[in-house]
Amino acid sequence: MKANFRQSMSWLHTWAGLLLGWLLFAVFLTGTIAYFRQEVTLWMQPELHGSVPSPRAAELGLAKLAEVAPDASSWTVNLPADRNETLRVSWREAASAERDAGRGGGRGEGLILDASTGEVLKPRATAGGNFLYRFHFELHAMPRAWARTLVGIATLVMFIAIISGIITHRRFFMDFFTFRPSKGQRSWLDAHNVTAVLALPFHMMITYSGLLLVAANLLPWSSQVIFGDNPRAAMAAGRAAEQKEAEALKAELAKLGGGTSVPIPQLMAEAEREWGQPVSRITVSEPGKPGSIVELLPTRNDSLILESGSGGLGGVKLAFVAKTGERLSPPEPRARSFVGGLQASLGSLHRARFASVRLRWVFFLAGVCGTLMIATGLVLWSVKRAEKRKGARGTFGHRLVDHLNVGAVAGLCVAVAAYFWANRLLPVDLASRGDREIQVFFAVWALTCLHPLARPLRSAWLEQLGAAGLLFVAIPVLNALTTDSHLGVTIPAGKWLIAGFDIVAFVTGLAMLHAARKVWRRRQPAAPVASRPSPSAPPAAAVAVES
Amino acid sequence: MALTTLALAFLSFVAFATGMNRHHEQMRKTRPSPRVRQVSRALAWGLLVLSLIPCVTAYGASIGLTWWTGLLTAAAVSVVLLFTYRPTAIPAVSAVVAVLVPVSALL
Repeated sequence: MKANFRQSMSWLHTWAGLLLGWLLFAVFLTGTIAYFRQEVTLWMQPELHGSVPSPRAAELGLAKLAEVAPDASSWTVNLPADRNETLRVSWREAASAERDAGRGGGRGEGLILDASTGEVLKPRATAGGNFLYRFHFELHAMPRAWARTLVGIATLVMFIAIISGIITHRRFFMDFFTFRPSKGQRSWLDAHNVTAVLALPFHMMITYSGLLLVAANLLPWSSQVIFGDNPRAAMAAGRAAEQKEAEALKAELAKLGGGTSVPIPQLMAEAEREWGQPVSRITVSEPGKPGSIVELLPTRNDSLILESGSGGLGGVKLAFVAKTGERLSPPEPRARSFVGGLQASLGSLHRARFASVRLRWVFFLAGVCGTLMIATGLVLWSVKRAEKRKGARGTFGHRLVDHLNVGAVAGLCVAVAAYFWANRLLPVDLASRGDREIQVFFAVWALTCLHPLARPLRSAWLEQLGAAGLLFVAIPVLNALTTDSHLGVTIPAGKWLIAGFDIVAFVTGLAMLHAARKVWRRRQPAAPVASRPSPSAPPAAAVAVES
Repeated sequence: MALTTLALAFLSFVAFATGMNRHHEQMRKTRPSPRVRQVSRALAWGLLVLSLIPCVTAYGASIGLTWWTGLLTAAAVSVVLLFTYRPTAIPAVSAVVAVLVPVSALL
């Protein structure tokens, strides 16, 4: 009976994994890169690379706002921080604020400034890291609700695959730290197990929390129960109530008269002392007028249970009366149930919004483990069946999976590399440039999905891994040829935010070239054997290499 | 603090491996005696619990636990890579890592 149960779990793991494995690989790969979404976008806008953070940034930003938008209804200054070295200012005109009030706020206007000179910077248009982030849960060119539902189903299947996988591969715990390379199926199984078990807490967390994040799409009527038939109206009512309160406060404060007596840097110092971390955003409502309020936001949350503020900044803000520097009492914290707190924690874990750059690297490493786990699992499916047939030609279904694996795994890597190349090679002033970058990504991915159908399996892997490897390894060279912020400049200047991208791309490329070399080595002795029964037979076993 | 946790977790995993037949053989060419198995397992659990402390004191309970879980993965990955490519170097590497524990804790 026990063996039966394990067998059925193994069956479930195999087929659930295969069915949505390709989509899950894409979700994991792009999601892992999305941990460095801002850093990727920064790399893709080299016009911003000259900006260096300075302690004068707040003053520069406020001065620029006073110059370009003296009559605005609010000002926002986003200060340079550990993940962003530029200074960003934005403002809302009084008229547009009124117009937007009913709709819950428009975007307003903004500028990006050099953080030490205050000079206005004009970056190229790019889809940036944002495209990869969006793609990982909303795919592309598909109604959002459908895409989210599709990714939601894949996530559910992932969860099933994790649970059934633990039961299937339970023998792993006996030799916990084992990876035996270059041993065919054995190596693929080891690699699949190692990447799964070593980052198991991450896999469970990311899958379960991901499931919660798209749950509303999987249970389409649930939000109706919670928010009523018209959730937008309910939200608008909530906003209107908040606004009424804000108006009352403003009227009260207006009695004090206009002007500021306490300089903002002094308020910032007070906030920083209290938080133990730098201020990342300053918002001034009604700047210079009676009733003006200054709000400060920290860089990140220091507890998982806190909801993050907009843009993933810290959620605990401090508000001051601009006229007197007096602190406004914070709004009553909403009472929250244990389940509500748990959901907030899982949401912030998934998005890693609380994470400093160093902790982000740890999440990135775990994400790489997850991506490799799915890739090795997909290849394992092929290799296992190829070893069973002992060189015989596979069925149509087997061959289809074998060949589609190439485009889904190696092909996506080629496409991501091509996306970064497009960012540097497309003309800077091209119209709708961001869309063109995305088109390059999908065009290359489509080609890599077709290419394996016309090639012997081993050659397809070899060529695509080689192409991805070369494209990634050459990214630092491409960057040096097309911009002034290459490794020769960024490393001596200690600009690790930018140098980091080049280095990670280079290392990724090396790993892929290594994998390609392994496929190449296996190709030599096995080729004559494979060509005997049928010249075009895809010798899938030969792909049995370590990645 | 993250470095101290990483070092302690690494030592903990090496201790776990020392208590396992296959991994002990990879490092020392012999199987572990029952005594060695017992002691190294107890040591491993002790080090694992100990590795949680620097993280939680530095980052608070919730984010400290997140750090800890992630660093366990990082430590385990390095142990696996060492067992794959340089198993006999593990005792020497562990000695260096053991020195790193007090040094990183004091920094």
